[in-house]
Amino acid sequence: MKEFFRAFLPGLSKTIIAVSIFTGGFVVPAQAQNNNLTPQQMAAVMSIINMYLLDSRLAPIPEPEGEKVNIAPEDGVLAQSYAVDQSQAWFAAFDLQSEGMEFCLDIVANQALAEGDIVVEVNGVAALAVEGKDNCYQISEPDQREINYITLQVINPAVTLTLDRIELASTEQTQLTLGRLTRGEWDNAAVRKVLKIFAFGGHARDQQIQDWADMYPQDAILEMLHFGEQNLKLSPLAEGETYIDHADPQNPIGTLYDWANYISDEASNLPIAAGNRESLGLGGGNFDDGYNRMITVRGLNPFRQRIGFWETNYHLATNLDASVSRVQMAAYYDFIMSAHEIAAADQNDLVSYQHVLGVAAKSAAVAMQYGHRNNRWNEATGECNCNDDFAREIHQLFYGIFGEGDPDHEDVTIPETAKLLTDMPVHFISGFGFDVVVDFQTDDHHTAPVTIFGQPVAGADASEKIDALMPLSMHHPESLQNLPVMIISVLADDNLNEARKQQIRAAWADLGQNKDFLHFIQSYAISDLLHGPNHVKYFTTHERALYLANKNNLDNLEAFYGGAGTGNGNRAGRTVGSIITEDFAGDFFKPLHNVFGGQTSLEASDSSGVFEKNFNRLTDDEHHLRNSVVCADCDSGQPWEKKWPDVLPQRADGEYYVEDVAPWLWRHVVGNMDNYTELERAHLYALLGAARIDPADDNNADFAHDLNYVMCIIADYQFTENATDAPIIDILTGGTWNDYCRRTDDGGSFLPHELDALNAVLTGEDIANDPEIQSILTQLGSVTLPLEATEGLGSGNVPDGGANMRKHARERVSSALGFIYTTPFVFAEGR
Amino acid sequence: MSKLNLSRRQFLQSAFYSGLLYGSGALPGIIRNVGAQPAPLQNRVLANLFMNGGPDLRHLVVPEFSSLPGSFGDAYWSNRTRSHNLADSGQTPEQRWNEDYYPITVGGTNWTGGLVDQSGLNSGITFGIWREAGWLIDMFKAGHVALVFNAVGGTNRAHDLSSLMLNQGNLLSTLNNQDRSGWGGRLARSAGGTSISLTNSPSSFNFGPLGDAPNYDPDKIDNSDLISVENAREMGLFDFNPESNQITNQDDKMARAAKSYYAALRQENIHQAYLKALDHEQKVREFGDLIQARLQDIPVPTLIQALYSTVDGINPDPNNVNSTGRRVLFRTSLGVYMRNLYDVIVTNDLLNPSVMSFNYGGWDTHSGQRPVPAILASDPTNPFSYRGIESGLRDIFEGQYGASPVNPNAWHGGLSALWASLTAADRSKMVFTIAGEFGRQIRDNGDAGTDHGKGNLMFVISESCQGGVYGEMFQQDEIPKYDLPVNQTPDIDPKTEIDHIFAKVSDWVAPGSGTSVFPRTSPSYTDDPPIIEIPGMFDNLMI
Repeated sequence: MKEFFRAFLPGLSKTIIAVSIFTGGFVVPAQAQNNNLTPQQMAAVMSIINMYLLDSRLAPIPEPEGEKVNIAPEDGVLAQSYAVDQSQAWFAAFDLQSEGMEFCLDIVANQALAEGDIVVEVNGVAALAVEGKDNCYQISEPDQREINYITLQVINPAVTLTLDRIELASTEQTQLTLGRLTRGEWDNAAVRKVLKIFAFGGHARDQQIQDWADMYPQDAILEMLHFGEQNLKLSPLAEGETYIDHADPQNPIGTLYDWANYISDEASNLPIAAGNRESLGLGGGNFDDGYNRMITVRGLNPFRQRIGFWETNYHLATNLDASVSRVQMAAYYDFIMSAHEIAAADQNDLVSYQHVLGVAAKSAAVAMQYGHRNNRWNEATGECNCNDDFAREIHQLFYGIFGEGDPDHEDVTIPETAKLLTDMPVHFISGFGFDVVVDFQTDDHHTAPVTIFGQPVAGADASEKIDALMPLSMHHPESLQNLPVMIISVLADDNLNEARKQQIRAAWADLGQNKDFLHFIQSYAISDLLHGPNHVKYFTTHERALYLANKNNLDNLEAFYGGAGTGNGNRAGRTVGSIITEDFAGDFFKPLHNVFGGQTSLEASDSSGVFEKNFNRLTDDEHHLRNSVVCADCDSGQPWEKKWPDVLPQRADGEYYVEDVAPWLWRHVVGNMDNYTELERAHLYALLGAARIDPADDNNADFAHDLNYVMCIIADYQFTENATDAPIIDILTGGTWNDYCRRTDDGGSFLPHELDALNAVLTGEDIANDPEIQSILTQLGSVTLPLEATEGLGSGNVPDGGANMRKHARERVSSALGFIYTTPFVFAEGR
Repeated sequence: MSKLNLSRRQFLQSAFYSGLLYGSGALPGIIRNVGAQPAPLQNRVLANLFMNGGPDLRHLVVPEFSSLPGSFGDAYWSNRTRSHNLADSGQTPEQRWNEDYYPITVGGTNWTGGLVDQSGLNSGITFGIWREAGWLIDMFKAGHVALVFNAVGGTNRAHDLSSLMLNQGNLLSTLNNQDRSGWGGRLARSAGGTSISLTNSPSSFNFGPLGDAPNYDPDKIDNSDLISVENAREMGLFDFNPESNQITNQDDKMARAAKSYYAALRQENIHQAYLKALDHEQKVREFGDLIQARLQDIPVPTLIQALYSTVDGINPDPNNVNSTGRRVLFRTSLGVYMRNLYDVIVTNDLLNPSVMSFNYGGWDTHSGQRPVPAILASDPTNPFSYRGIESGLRDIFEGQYGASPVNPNAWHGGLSALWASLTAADRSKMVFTIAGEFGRQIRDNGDAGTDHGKGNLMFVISESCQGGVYGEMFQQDEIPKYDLPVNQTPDIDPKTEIDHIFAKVSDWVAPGSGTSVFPRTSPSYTDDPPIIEIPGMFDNLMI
C-alpha cells in the first residue's frame, strides 16, 4: 500500500492544481476519478492541493483534540508506541522548521481497514493513511505553519490502531554529499530500480523487496549490495530448489574459477547433461555461457557479478581474443573481486579502491593483454625494449588521467611508466599454459625510481612500484575529476550533465583519502541522482539479456538450462548467450572494443538491429518462451513444471486471476507501474485470459488470443449474429469459439470487418473510453489461470491429472511475459 | 489496483542532457514504388571508413629507401626495421623497399597525368605504396585519390577522445561532449538525406544535429534520420500473415499484439528514454518491407560475396588441390559492410542516403606490427593467417584493377570488390573518406610495434577528387627527431585539421554545406580556426 501512495505523489503537480482551481475549487482531477481511488487516496490528493492553496503560514490552526505528541527532528524515531481508538484521537505536533520535513509512522490495525474507518489530517487537510509501514507526509518549508499538526482519528469503534516508528526528519538527507532518498521516498519501485541497475534484477522475492522498501534506504542498501560471494537475500534459493550445492552458506562456489570447474564437472549436481558440461568450463569454448549462468543462478551474488563484469569487460577490460587465456581471465576476475571484498570489509579504511586497481595492474591477464610481459629495461644501453601501451592505459583507462595540461605527460610520464612496467614475465608452464600470475623480477627491471606525475615512484620491482603509483594515480586531479564519472556513467547513468557529474565528483571527494568503492556505489544507489527524473539508463545487450533471464527464470533448473532444449521441442530457462551473439554484442570477456570495453549502452540503444532481433525473437520465435514451461524428464530424469504458481499472486480462494497476474508481471519485469496503463492492461488481459475454453479438450486452452483477435471475434460475432453485446467469455467457452473471426469460416479469407479488427490500432484512450472494450476487459480480468489444476483431460481426452491445464496456463503467463519483453520498457530505465 | 496510471499521461518532459532525441514523425524520403531493379544513385553519397585504433599509415606509404645519412629515407628505414619485422622476413630495408613497395616519384616515375602536388612541397620526392594495396595504387594513378599528409583528427593520443573528435569533426571536443552530433550526421541533414550506419552499432559519426540545416545545433543530437543497415537482406520485423491460420499460429498472435501496441504507444507521451525503441520499430518495419521487396531479385554481387564466403573460382587454396575457393578477407565484417553498402546504393531511392559509415579496427599495433606467417610463402592470399597491420591493409585496399604493378594473382579486397560491382554512374556519385583517430610515433618500439602519435595520412577517394598529394609528405624537420633520446616520443607533426579536408568533401556532397558541417571553417567563426598546412590547399580537392 505504501508504494501506491508514493507513486501517486509524483503525479501531483501544479499543473493539476491549476486545473482544479480552474474548474471551480477542490475538484478532483479527472484522472484521479478514473483511478478508482479510495476516499483515503482521494484525500491525499486533496491534502496536497490544499497545501498549495493554503499558503498563509501565520493562519493559526486550532490545536486538535486528543493525545498529543510533540516531535522534533532531533528526536529520531520515537521509542514509544501509541494505541488509538474511537475514544480518543491522536496527533503529533512540530514547530516550524527551516527546511522541508517528512513525518512518518507505521500503522498496525487490529482488523482490516475499510473506507472511512480512520481519518488523517495534515494541518487540517485530509490525507491518506493505510495500514502498514511508512505512512509518510512531506511538508515543504514554505507550506509549514508555526505549529504543524498531523492528526489521526479512528471512526470505526471496532478498530484499534497501534502507531509505531514515529519520526520527523528533514527531507534534505545526504550521504556522501549526495541527496539521499527519505524514508518515504524509498519504496518498492526504488528497490527494484536498484536491483535492475546494479544486480541484473537479482532474484529477491517480493516480500524481501518490500522488506527492503520498508527499511531505511541506508540500511537496506547494505543488505542489497555487498561483495560477499553469496547474498541469499538478493539471490535466495527457490522454494524446494533442487540444485543447491553451489549455494552452501559455509562454502559457496562464488569465485569464477571455482564456478567454471563446478559447472563443467560431471560429478556436480546439475540438470545439464554430463556431455554438455565440459565446454562451460575453463577448458571449453562456452566459458562465457558458464559465466552467464553464474549470474542467473540463485544462491550467489548478482551484484558481485555485476561489478565483476564491469571491471573485467569495461573499466579494466582484457580480452580472451587477445592472448589472455580463460584461466588467466578467471583468475583476473577473482583477484579483482577478492580485492573488492577485502577493501569493502576493511573497517580501518586502509585498503581502498586503489588496491583493487593495483591488483588488476599487476595481473597476468593485463600483462598478456598489453604485451608488457615482454618489456625489458636494458641498463647497459639505457634503452627500454618496451611498448608503451599499458604505460598509457594504466593512467587513462584505469583512472581517467589523460595528461590534460601536463606538458610532461607524453615525454615523461608515459615513457617512465613504461620503464616501471619492465621485467614482468608471465611464464609458460608445460601442460598448463601461461601462468595466472606475473613473476616480478629485477634483472631486466628499471630498478631506480621513475618519475611519474612529477613525483618519484620507487620500488625494487614493478610490483612495488605499482603499489607506490596507485595512490598517486587515485588522487591525481584528473582521476578525481574523471574516475567517479567513468564509474557511474558506464554502470548506471546515460544522462549525466555537468551539474550531475559535479555531484558525483563531490561524493567521490567526500570519501577522502581512502576511496571506498562499495560505499560510493551504495550511496549513489539510494541517491536522488539515480532515482530522480533526469536519470536515464539504456541497457546494453548483456544487461538486458541477463535482466530478462533473471525475470524469467524462477529456479536453478531454468538458470542452468539457460534456454537450451529439454526434448520434445521444449526448452527451459531464458537464453543469454544466443541473444548476445545475435546482437553482435561481443561475448563475455571478449569486449567489442577490446580494452576500451564492451558494447556501450548508447551503441545498444542506437542500434535498430538490436531492437529488431529482440522483436523477432519474441514474435517469430515466441515458442522459445512459451515452450519453456514443462518437461518430461529434464529435472535429473524427473518431470518439471515452471514455478509460476510460487510467485504469482494467489487469492484466498486459491485462484490466480488475470487481473492480479497482469500487473504483477508488469511490475516484475519493468519494476514500476508508471507505464502500466489501459493499453498495457488490455494487451496482457487478452494474452492471459482470452483462452479457448473447451472442457472436452484441454489442448485448446493454449490458444489464447491477442487483443486484436479478441476484438475481431467480437466484431464478427456482432456482424454474424446482428448483436450488440460482447460476451467474450461465452464465445470462448464450449463450441462457439470456433464460430467467429476464422479465416475459413466465410469462404477462405477474412472479411473486411475482421481485417479491420485485426489491423486496428487501439490506443489507451480508445480502450479507456470504450464501454465495450471495458466490458471485455472486465470479463477477461475475472478469468482464472489453472496453474495448479489437478483434474483435466490430456491428449486423446484421457484424464491427465490436470497436466495439460497447468501447462497451457503456464504458457499463457510466459506469452504475456514475452509481450512485456517486446515493449520499449525493457530497453531502458527512465521515470 | 490502478486502472489508469497518471504518470504517463501527465508526462513531464525531463531535461535530457544527452540530447539524444528520436523523431517519431514521418520517415524521410520514402518512395513507395518499389521496383525490382537496382536504382541508380540519385544523389551524391559519402562513405566514411573509420580505421579505429590509430593506423600506422607510414607502413602503407613510405619514403624511398636511402642509406644516405641525414636523409629521410635513411632515418625512416633505420628506425623501422622492427615494425617491418625484417628479421623474420629476412629482408634488408632496401630489399623490403624494392620488393614490397610500388615507387612513385612526384612529377616523375609513375606520376601519371593529372595528379597534383597541391602543396608544392614534394617535387621529386619518391615514395612507395605497399604493393598489395593494388586498388589504392591504381586508383591513385587514375587520379582519384587525394593523399592528405600531416592530417589530424584527434589532438591527443587517447583512442576514445581522439575518436570522438574525429567522428564529431570537432577537435575541440572533450569526453564531456558525448552529446555532440557527428559530422556525417550533419552532412546528411544538410543534404536532406539519411545518415546510414552499415555496422552493428551506429557510430557517433552518424549522429545528426538538432534542427534543420543550415541552422541546426551541432551540439545536440537528433537521430531521426539515422538508419542502421546491418543486414539489409534480413531487415524487417516479423508480422502476422492473415492468409495463415490465426488461431493456431502463436507467432502471428505475438507479432500482431506487439505491432498494435507500438502503433498505439506511438500516440502517447512516454519518457524520452523509451523513444528510441519506438523509432526503431517504425523504421525497421517500414524500411524492412520495402528493402526486402527490392533486394529479393537482386543478388549479392559475386565479388562482394567472395569477400566473406566461399565462391567457386575465387581465391582457391594453392596447397589443396580440391579447393575451389575461399573467402578473400581476413576479417569478414568488412565484406558484410560492403554488401550493406551495395544494398543501400541499389535501394537508394528508398533510403535516400547521403552518408554511410563503416569501420575497420585492429590498428593499435603496439607489438608485432607485421608478423610474417610461413604459410605466405606458398599461399600469399591465405585469408586466415594473421599478418598484423598488413591483414587490414590488404582487406581494405587489395585490388585487381589494372594489370600492374601489383601481384596479378591478387583478389579484390573490400573497396575494390565494391567498386567493381557498381555501375559507372554510381561510382561517379561516390566519395570515400578514410581516416584513423591518430597516427603513430615515427620510431618503432622495442616490441616490434609502434606507439600512439598524432599526425597521420588521410584519404579522399573519388572520381571527382583531384588526385595527388596534399601537404609535405615527409617533413624534413622530422629527421632530427629520429635521434631524440629514447624517452622522447616524436610523432608526425600535425599540420592540417580535418575541418578543411572534409568541409570540401561536404561541399561536394551537399553544395554549400561545408561551413555548417564544420562550423570552424565558417568565416563567421571567431575563435581559433582549424590549422592548415598551406592555406587554400583544398580549394580544388573536389572537382
